[in-house]
Amino acid sequence: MKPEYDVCIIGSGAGAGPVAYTLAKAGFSVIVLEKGPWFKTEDFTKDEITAVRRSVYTPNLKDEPHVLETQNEDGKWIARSNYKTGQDFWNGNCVGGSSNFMSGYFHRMKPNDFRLLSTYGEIENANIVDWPISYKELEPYYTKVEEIVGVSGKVIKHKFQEERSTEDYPYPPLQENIISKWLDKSAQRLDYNLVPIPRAILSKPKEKRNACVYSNYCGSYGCSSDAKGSSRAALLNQAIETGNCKILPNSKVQFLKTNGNGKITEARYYDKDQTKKTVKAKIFVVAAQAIETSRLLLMSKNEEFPNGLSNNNGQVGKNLIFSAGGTGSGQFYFNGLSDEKVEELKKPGVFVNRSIHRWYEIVSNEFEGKVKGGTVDFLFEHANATSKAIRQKWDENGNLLFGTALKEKLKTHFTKQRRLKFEVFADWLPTDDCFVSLDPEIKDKWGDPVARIRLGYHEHDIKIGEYLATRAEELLQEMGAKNINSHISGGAPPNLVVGGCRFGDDPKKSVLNKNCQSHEVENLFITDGSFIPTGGSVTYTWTIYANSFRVAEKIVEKLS
Amino acid sequence: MKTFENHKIDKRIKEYSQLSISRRRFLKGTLAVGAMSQIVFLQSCVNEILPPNDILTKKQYQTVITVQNILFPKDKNGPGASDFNAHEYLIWVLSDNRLDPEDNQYIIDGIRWIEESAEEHYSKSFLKLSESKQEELILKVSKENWGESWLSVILNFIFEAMISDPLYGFNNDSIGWKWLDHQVGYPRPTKELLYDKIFKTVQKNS
Repeated sequence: MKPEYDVCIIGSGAGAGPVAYTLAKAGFSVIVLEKGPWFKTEDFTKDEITAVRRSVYTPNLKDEPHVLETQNEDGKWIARSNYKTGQDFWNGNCVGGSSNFMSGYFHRMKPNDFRLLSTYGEIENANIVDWPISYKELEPYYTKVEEIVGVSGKVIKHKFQEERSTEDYPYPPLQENIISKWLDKSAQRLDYNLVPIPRAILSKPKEKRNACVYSNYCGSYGCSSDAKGSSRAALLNQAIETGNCKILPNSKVQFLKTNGNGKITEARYYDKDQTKKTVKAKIFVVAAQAIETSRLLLMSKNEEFPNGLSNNNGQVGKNLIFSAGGTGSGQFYFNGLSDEKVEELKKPGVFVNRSIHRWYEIVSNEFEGKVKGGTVDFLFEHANATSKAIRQKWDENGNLLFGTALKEKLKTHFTKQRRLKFEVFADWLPTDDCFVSLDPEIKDKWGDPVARIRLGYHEHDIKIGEYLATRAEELLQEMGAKNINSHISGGAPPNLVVGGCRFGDDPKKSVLNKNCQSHEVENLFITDGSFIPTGGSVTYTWTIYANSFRVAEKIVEKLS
Repeated sequence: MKTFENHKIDKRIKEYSQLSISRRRFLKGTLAVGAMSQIVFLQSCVNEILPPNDILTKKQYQTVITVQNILFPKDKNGPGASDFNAHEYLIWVLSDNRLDPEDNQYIIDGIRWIEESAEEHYSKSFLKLSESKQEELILKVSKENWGESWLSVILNFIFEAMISDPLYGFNNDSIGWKWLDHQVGYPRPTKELLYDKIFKTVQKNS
C-alpha cells in the first residue's frame, strides 16, 4: 500500500517546526503527531497557577513520570520516580512543544564548539569529539532562523563574535531597562565587553505576528502576541496554511515498525480517545525532545533491531547532555536612589539583555593551558510572584520564617528592591554517566516503559562554572549590588537537554550521519537536539532550529 | 531561563523532599492521642469564616485556619491569611483530583500532628490553648524537620492564595496584589481559562 504521507513528524517543537515548514512549502504532504493538546495563542494567559504552579502545559507526573538516577554519597546510583520527588523533566507537551515557553535567549554556537576535541584536547572521562560539520556549514541556517523565526538584536564587535553572512539582525533590539546601561558602564570599567543578547522575540510585527508587548511574563508562559518565535507561532501556522500539513494533537506515538529491510513503514500511536492507530509515510522524522526521542527508539525494538531502533551499536540514549553552570544574583535597593531612577529601575517588561562572552575561552593559571569557558546572561528575577514569595520564607540561616518577620521581608522584597540575576552557561561534558534507558518497571498511563535518566556530571564543569560565576559576581560588585551570591552545581536543568542520538561519521560511535539520518534506518531522520554531540556553552534552541532547517533541505532532496 | 533552581511543577510540596517529612521519629515515645470528642474552643473570627466542606472536619479546619493566621497574621504591615481566604484556597487544593492524593493526605496528616504536639507539650487540644501558647507551639514545631516541612507547604498555599487572580475567588478585591504592589501580567485569565477549566476548554477547541 502506498504511504499516506510523504513525511510523518513525531513531536512539534523546535526540531519539528522547520521540517514541517520547509516540506509543506515545497509541496510535500506532512503529518505531525503531537502527544499533547493544542493550545492556541488565545489560550495563553499570564495566570501563574496555570502556567507555573501546576502541570497544565506538561503531563501529570502520576500518568507520565520519569525515573531519575542520581549518585548518593557512597557513589551508588539510586533510581527514583519523579512522581515522588517532584523534579519534573517535561518542558512543554503541546503543539509547539517547549519552544512556547522558552525565554528566547538566542546565541549561536561558535566555530570552536564544532571542533572541541581538536581545539582543546581530551579531558579524562569525558567523551569529547569534533562535529562532522563545521560552523561554516551551519551558518546559512542560523541566518535563515533570524529571518523566518525572527531574531532581534544588535551585532557588536568582540573577540568571540562568530562570523556572519549578514551584517546585523533583521529586527532591532527590544527595549531595555535602565539597568542595562548601569551594567555597560561597570563592565567598561572592568574591561568586560558586554554583548547585547539576541532574542527570538519580534521587536516589530512580522506577517500575522505582532511585536512584543512587554508583558513582563515571558519565560514559562505562552506568548499572547506571537512575538516569541515558538515553533507553533513562527513555523507550524505557516505550514498549515499551505494546505499540505496536518497536525494531530493528543496523539502519542509508541512504536515505529520496520519492514525487515532497515526501513520504517508505520508509526503506531494512541489517539485522543486512547485508540491505537497507525500512520504510514515515506520518511519518519523524530523530534520529541532529547529524552523522549531516545526512549521511542529504545521502545521500538523488534527482531531486526533487538536493542531498539537504530541501536545495533548500542549508542541510542548515550551521551545525553544538559547545560552546566548555575545562577547567581545581587540586589539593588531603592533607598538612596532618586524617585526618577527608582521608577526607571522598576519599569516592568523591558529587558536586561546583556551577556558576558569574554571568557568563551579561558586562559588562566587556574587551568592548564587554554580551556573552553562559557557565557553569562543577565536578567531580572522572574515576575512570578508566588515563586518570589516562596524564596523569602527562609532566613539567612535556612530556618523557616513566619509571622510578622516574614511579612516584613516580603514587603521589602516586593516593594523596595529589584534583584538582578545571572545565569552561567558552560559545556556539560558528555560522559558515560549521563544517558537515557528504559525503566524495567515503571510504565506510563498507556503501559509503555518510561525513560530512566542517569544524571551524572563531570567535575570539570563545576570548575568552569565557578570561574565564570566569580567574574559575574565581580561585575555585580562593581555595580554596587547588595547580597551578591551564586550557586554552581552539577544539577541538570531539565529545560536545557540535548544529545542521546549523536551525529558523526563512525556508525559504531554515533546514531546519525552528518545529515541527521540514521546510520541503520534509511528513512529515519532525527531533528531535535538529540544529534548534538558536545554542548557548547549557550542555550540550544537556535542551533536546534538551524540544524532542523539544514536537515529539512536534505529530506527535500531525498524526496525529489 | 535555567529552570533547575525553579522546578516549577509540584514545587508546592516536593521541593522539601530532601527534608524529612516523616513524623515517625517524632512519634516515638508519644502515646496515642485520646478523645476526639473534646469541646472545641472557637475564636470569634474563625467562627465567622467557616463554610461547610466535606474534606476536613470542623476541628481540622479550625486548626489549620488558626495555624495559617499564625504563619501569616493580619498586622500593621498588612492583610493576613484569612483576608485572601487562604483556608478556602486550601480546600480547593485538597479537592483537586489532578494532584497527588498522597500529597493531599500529607496536608491533612499534618493537622493531626499539630494536635498531637499540643497534647504532648501542653496536655491540651491546640484549639484550647491561648493565642500565645498556640504561637509558642508553632515556633517549637517549626524547629522540627517534619514541622518545618509541613508549615512550609502550608505557607506555599497561603502565597498562592495571596497572588491568585481574583477570578479564582480567593484574592478578593486584589487585596494581596495591592499589598505587595504586584505588577499583574496581561492578558489575565478568563473564566474558561482558569486552571480547573482550561483542560476542557482546550480539548473542545482543538
